[in-house]
Amino acid sequence: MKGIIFSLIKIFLIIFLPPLMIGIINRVKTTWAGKYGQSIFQPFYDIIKLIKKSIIRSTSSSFILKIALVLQFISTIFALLLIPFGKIKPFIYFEGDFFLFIGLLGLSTLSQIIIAMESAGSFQGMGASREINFSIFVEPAILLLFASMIFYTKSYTLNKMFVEFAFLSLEKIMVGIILGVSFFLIILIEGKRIPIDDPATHLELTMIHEAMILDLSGKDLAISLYSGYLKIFIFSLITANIFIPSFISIELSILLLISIVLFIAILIGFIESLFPRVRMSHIPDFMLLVLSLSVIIVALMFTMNT
Amino acid sequence: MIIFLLSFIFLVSGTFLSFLFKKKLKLIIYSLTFIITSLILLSITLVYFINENYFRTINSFNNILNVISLNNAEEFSVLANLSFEMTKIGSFFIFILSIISFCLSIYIPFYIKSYNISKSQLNFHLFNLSILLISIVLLFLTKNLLIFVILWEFMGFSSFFCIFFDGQKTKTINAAIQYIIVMHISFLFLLIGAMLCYKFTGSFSFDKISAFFQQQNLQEINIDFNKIKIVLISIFSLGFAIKLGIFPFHFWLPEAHPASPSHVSSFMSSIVIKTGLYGFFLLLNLFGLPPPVFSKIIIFIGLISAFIGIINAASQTQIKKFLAYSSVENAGILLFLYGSAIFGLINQSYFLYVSSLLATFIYLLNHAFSKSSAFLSAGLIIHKTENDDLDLLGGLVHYYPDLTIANLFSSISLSALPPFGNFIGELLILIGYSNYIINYSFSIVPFWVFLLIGIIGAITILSFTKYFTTAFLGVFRGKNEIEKKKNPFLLNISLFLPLIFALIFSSCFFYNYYFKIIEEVSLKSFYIINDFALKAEMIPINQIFYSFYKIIIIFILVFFLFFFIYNFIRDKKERTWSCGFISKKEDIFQYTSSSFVEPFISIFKPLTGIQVKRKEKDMIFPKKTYIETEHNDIVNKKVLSPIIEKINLIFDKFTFIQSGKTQHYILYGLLFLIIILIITLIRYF
Repeated sequence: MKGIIFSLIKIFLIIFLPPLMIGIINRVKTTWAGKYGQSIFQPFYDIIKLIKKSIIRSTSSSFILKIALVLQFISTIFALLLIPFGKIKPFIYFEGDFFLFIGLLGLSTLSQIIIAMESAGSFQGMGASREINFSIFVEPAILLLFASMIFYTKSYTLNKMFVEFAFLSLEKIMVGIILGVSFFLIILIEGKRIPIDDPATHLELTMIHEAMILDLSGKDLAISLYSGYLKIFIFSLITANIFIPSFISIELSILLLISIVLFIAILIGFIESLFPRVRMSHIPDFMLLVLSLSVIIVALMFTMNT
Repeated sequence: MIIFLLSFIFLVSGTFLSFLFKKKLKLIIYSLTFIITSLILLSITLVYFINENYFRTINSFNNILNVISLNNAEEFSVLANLSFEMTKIGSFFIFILSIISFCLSIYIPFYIKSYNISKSQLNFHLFNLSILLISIVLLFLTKNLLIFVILWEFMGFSSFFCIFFDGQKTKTINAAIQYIIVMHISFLFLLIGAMLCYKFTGSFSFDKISAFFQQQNLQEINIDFNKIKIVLISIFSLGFAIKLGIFPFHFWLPEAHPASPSHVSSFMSSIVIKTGLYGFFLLLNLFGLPPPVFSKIIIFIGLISAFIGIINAASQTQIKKFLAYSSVENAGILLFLYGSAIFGLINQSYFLYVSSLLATFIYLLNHAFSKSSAFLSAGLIIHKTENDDLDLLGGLVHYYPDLTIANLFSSISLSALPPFGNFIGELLILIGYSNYIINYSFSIVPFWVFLLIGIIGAITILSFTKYFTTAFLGVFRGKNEIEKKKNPFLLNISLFLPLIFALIFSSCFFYNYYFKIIEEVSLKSFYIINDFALKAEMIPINQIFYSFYKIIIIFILVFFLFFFIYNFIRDKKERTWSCGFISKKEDIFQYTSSSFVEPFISIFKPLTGIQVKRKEKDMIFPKKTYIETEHNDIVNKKVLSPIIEKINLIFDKFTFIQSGKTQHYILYGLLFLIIILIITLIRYF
């Protein structure tokens, strides 16, 4: 019975939280700018509106576009199903699922690029090129972070890796903070938020993610947008999971998780209002920052354990 | 063995029979014989896998040979040891070979039809293909080092003639000559190694050599013996690494592939290159475990090779060069997997050992099948659109939807994404290293592996998205017109069958067969592993993959369900909005593949060997500017060409000898005779 309730909670959170995070980010930004701003549920209304609309596709597109859209959505959803919610176990888990997680994210990136290139537009191509070129340092960073977690928690299922990671010694506190910071930076990179990309920009030449979905409309756009929201949510969940201690009860852990996720949304809102976007030529440096953070963890382990 | 012989005789006679007929009928007869031969090979391997004892009883060919050579065994000791035997690892390679040759035989008549070459050339090509097939099959069966080396040479020569198919172009000639030189360097290493082996052990037979080294292993550690072992292993490894296309020796691959016809490059990259890996497994069999440093060196070289390969692949815009560099990457990963198996064995982590060997076999199988399919479809694209530059392709999905689907799957497969075998191989190796991190003392190697596998994986996705999206999506960029035509059903089989097999045979339902190969490899490497310990490690891996495949099956089902629903939604078609710009030609604003990878090249420029030359005139109002992109492999540019230049400089000084006058040449002959006479006289005294 408890299991059913927990899985219902998880499904509810998966549907409800990702757009809410975006709503909160936008609300924080508008409040910071001194405006009244939109409702925090605005992303829901947007998506519902888009689903009601009909689809207009480019003349250069083909059936591959439909495959890619579905593939992007499904692979992002399946990647989300591998992440635990606090102390609640994820829907699917097995030993070594961390690499399936990365493989699914890679699949969603691939389909995202396909969606962009289907339109035969210059902006879409440019966005796709930037997206894929700037993200080559993120995958190794995530893998190294996972490797360090494997070393400290002595297990290689995502479920145990997150639950058993505890801030018990000085070494683990240091590692935990670096882990949290780097996963937070990965939210900004994968979610295409401000230091990397400005989702509210009006100029196509400075866009990355927004340029890729310029040509989508209606239900296609809804699916693509929601997959983007899910990506932010996935990495916020990961960041939140690191900070949840292993000794608290399940109910408390889920409350803590939700509050940390919402806190992350507010934090992203602050960052978006306070910092400008990085210059396009400096984005690889920002990606290298994340990679070097993960290398620092390995160096730390090396000095502590040999 | 007799079945093998019969099938070979059948193949050769079929080839000769096909010579009698005209072009169309010739190709059909040839492909039929090729199909039947490959089916025979396939059935042999399948029967062997199901019941291996079946072949032990029918070993009459060896018996006959033994009887013949028994009378004067002393004199013909080489012949006495001449034996062929099915091993599990050999039959695994033959299994891959047979399926690929099956697909090729369907493909060849459709593909060669378009080539405009003379009858004798075609006959020669077909003959060489048969010889190539036979020599590779025998290579996997032989148990004699000398025969192995001779077959290696046969393989090199026949593949050289296969590459030489349309030998009118200077590029083809250059590439083929480079190939034959490189292959002979590899052959030279193997020959030296074989001779040294004979000198130390007194035999060419695999059994005797391995028995000799086993004996030495059991005795007290002998320093001289260890030196011999290291020298032998390194000589052989160099020879095999050249064939496999590992980093400093990879430069022949991107030259040879674009020059050769597609079925040959498919065959080359899927099976001929892999003979190098078979050779590496042979080393384990012959000399036992290498010294501990060796495993780390192999891991390092493999990963570096994969890294260099994929960086070059990402920056390429020529289809076949791109696929060739991707082969370099995959060969590097394969070598790395092999190295980590040894690493696991040396550090007594059997889990890592088993998982990395399993990963090696799955990766090999999947890469062979998917690369074969990718090369075959690349050949069709080049033939149909008459260019191989990605910058001039695009929008092929509107013309050839079946080719597009095949390429989508092969791209997903080769960029190591689920659910294909390349992904499973990487998953296995990372599980193995995770286990190593958990259970053994801290070592930096697993973290290096995690880092490099991550970078390589990301760049692989980049390069294959570049390939797929710029070639197949959007609008056609070329100037010539291409016709819309569906592939014939048979041709589609040759593209899709390898992909389907790749998906099926990398699934967990076949792991027990892979485990049998692993058992054989570990028993032969005469490192005493408890059989029980090996099996104990196999069970958790099987369990992991049963749960993995449950997820994958659910994933595929959900995908098809959603796609089915989504496919029903109607849509309107409009032109892409390009900032208000309207032109008659749609492709004018499209992103090309070189602009797609431009940010990437700017990061990794020194490693790609790409040079952009701008010819700009210094004028206030410049009229026309030209931009040229040149590619020259870094090894070619930095290492080979300086050496070749220096050799040329030395030989330039002797050009006066070739004066063109007959009297001079007669004089040289006379001088030579006199020198010989003097030398013999000196010896006499």
